[in-house]
Amino acid sequence: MAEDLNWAVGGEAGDGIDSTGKIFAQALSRAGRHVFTSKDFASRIRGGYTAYKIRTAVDEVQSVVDRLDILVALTQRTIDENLDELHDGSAIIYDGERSWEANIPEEMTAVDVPLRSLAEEAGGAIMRNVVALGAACALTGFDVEYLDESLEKRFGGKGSKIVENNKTAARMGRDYVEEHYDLDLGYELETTDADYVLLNGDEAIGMGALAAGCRFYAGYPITPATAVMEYLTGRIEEYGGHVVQCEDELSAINMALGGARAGARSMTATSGPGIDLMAETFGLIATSETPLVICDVMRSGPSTGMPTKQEQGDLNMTLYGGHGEIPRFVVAPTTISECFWKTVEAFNLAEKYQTPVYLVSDLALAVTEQTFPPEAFDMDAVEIDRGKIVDDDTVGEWLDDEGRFRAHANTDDGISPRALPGTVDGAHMSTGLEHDELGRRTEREDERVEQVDKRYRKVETAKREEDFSWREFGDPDAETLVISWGSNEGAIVEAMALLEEDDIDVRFLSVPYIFPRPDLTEAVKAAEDVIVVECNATGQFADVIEHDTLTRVKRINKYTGVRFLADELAAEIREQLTTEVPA
Amino acid sequence: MSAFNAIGEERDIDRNEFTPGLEPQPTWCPGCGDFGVLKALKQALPEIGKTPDEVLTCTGIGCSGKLNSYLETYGFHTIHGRSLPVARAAKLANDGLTVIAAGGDGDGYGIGGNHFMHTARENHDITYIVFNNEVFGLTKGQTSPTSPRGHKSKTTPHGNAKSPIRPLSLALTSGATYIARTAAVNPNQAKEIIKEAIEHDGFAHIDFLTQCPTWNKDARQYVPYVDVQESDDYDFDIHNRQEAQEMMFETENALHEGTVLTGRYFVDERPSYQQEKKELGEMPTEPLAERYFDDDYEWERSYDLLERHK
Ligand SMILES: Cc1ncc(C[n+]2csc(CCOP(=O)(O)OP(=O)(O)O)c2C)c(N)n1
Ligand code: SF4
Ligand SMILES: [Mg+2]
Repeated sequence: MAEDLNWAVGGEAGDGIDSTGKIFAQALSRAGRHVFTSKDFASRIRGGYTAYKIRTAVDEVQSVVDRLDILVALTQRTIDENLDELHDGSAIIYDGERSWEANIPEEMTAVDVPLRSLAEEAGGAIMRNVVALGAACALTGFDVEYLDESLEKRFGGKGSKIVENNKTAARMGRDYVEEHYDLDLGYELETTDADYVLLNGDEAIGMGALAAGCRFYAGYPITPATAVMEYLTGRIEEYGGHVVQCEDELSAINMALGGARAGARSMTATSGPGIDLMAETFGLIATSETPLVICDVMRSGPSTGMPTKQEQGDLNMTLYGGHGEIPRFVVAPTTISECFWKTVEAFNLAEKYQTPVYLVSDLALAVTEQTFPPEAFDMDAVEIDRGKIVDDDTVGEWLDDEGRFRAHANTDDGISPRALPGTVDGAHMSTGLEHDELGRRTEREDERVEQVDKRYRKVETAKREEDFSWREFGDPDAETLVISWGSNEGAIVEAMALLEEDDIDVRFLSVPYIFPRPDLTEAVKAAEDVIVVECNATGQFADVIEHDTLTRVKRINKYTGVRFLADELAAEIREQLTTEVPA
Repeated sequence: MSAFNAIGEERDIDRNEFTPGLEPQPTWCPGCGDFGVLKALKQALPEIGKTPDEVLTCTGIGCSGKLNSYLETYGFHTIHGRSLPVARAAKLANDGLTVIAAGGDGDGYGIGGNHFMHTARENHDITYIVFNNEVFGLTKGQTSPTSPRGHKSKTTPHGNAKSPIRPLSLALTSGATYIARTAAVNPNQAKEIIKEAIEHDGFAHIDFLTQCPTWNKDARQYVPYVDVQESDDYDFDIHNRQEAQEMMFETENALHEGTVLTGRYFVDERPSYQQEKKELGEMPTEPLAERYFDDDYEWERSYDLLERHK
């Protein structure tokens, strides 16, 4: 496994933890190191504990581990919350001049730095976190100059004086540690020439949407999906688009629908409580054959649940939700870069098949920042397929004998032509009522069956024409088969490396397509042990696999609100190999 | 050239173009007020130079929601209460379109009430026609948000204990910038009001009294009606919020005391949502839906997106 450093800054919400952590993450990324970040938050209101954690290595890192090496603790609670992850070699930076008495386990290295006083000396107490970053540089053998660009990016808007003060503050932190402590923790953070981009899953979805030509977004704020909307706001205009903040999610999905009807590639994003409201309109989108991307950034439910915690509990909701039988696509990106690519794909699926697409991401992807080489987002590889939109030249091919546009024409592939309002001769009716080819409501048995079949035929066409396969890892002939969906991919891949050290070979299938999904029967039949890993209590994906393959599987479920950690997962897989499959 | 070749097309328009080949004959009950709205629209649209291919009508669920089945336009039949968000977004995506939302009193003032309030507040540039028959027509006559106090139906057998909503006052406080009431029995006034509403830049709300002879037997046919602009008994300035408010209040009271007052109540020049957003640079001036048809459009600018993450 990568030789990694695990670093964190923690304090109270409102202490600027997030931006401090981000400055350090950016500096590491600029220094050509890989970064994988995670966030702890007990609560969003002031007074709650919050931490920003960074795992960094020269090689790619794609999960969090159960170990913390350097901790900047602005409160005692930060130390207490992380006792499990701290170890004998950990170093804790704190401000001994603050009112609280630091209670640091003896085995650890306590590094007392007068953060506040030094910050005041540099120009203002507000910079104490930056002093701590400088101190962290001294402990890790990381050149403080790498912080400079991040500080410029963060504070550039406030004027060069502020930027200079911050740079000074960082250096004072470094100097203080070097002068007062003679420590060798053994870290010498190596740098490389690599040029990385650093982004989280919500940003990758927003970026994917823009690259895919999304020009209309309607939403209502909700953790952890809000960042998609905030990413697009201010950027989409440069590409000729617009973002609307609606009165509620009922409005958001109906506005996105309206934008799509009028011809803009449209999208909305929300989380559990909002998906429930949006379910109302889902059937209309499918029945009226409107292309729409609906993103569900899952969080812990049900109801308001644990709004800032991880869970993959909405699989059944997105797979089956809505009354009646609704054709759909359900796509679940498995990594942050895949958030970008699956968003692009979602827009193409939506328009090619004129069918709603659920893009299902989760909190772990949304709040994690990860480094990638820019090639991971090769914009030239983005293709836009708008499907069967007619224009004034082609509209004539789709008129019936009386000149009426056949908006729901019963074609071989199930896909009908689409005339956008404003196209001469294209006027037609479209409705959530069952209808005939022309969009006229009907309750005739033959027409009903014809339209239901036609809509499902689009899914069959997609199964033929698209590649709905899994992402394969490990030894294809291994006796142990691990299957998962969504954000667990990185942790599983790293767990496999740990298992390999014990000579346990694993074949891992990471499945980004929930519907239509790849047929796993052969893979399941070929394996001795099949283990399905997911962040929910009931094993929703495991149920689906058992149903598809008519085989019982083992399950690893986590629903504490925290994502899987690589080391923990390796232990659980080992454990599962000693148990019997439930009868 | 626009990708949307019907928009702004200059040609003679035949009134019959708005009668669809699909369903030329509405299935509303004989004597239903909904016929009045359809007729007024069919007259108004060609008179202001609109062709069916540049009009989008979004309707809700109810007898009223069938409007666009009988009117040749791009028709979109939404679900119960949701015509407004669909309509206003379509207008944002392509503001060359003429967008009309329509539905019943239950649809618009009940289940869709929140959208009504916010569409008015944001002053979206669309026309909204509420078919106000003071009952739930389609579901067979239950009491609606506009049913008068004391109204008896299967859901209020002892008479409605609640006072009705005040549609005009609600539109005004919410922020609508064109507010009128007309009645099916007054086709000429209805047609003129629809024309003004469509041409108004901003959210235009028409509370359209549509009698339901099938389920609202004790309601009058909304006759005799009085046009507040033409009657000497009323004198107020439709540009004055206070005066408009008083006139609306009186009109809403009078309806349940047997006097049907109709006409224009309020007109304001406040900029529409899209005007405001464009001025702030938060919305491009050309239609959002247009870009895809621009062959010179540089998609590779997407690379700029990556720079910000370095
Ligand atoms: C979510 C939902 N709830 C209930 C219904 C049943 N429903 C259909 S129309 C309607 C009320 C119609 O009243 P109104 O909006 O006044 O229209 P009208 O028929 O009077 O024109 C109801 C309750 C529905 N279609 N959808
Ligand atoms: S039930 Fe009433 S509103 Fe519905 S069509 Fe008949 S008369 Fe018109
Ligand atoms: Mg009604």
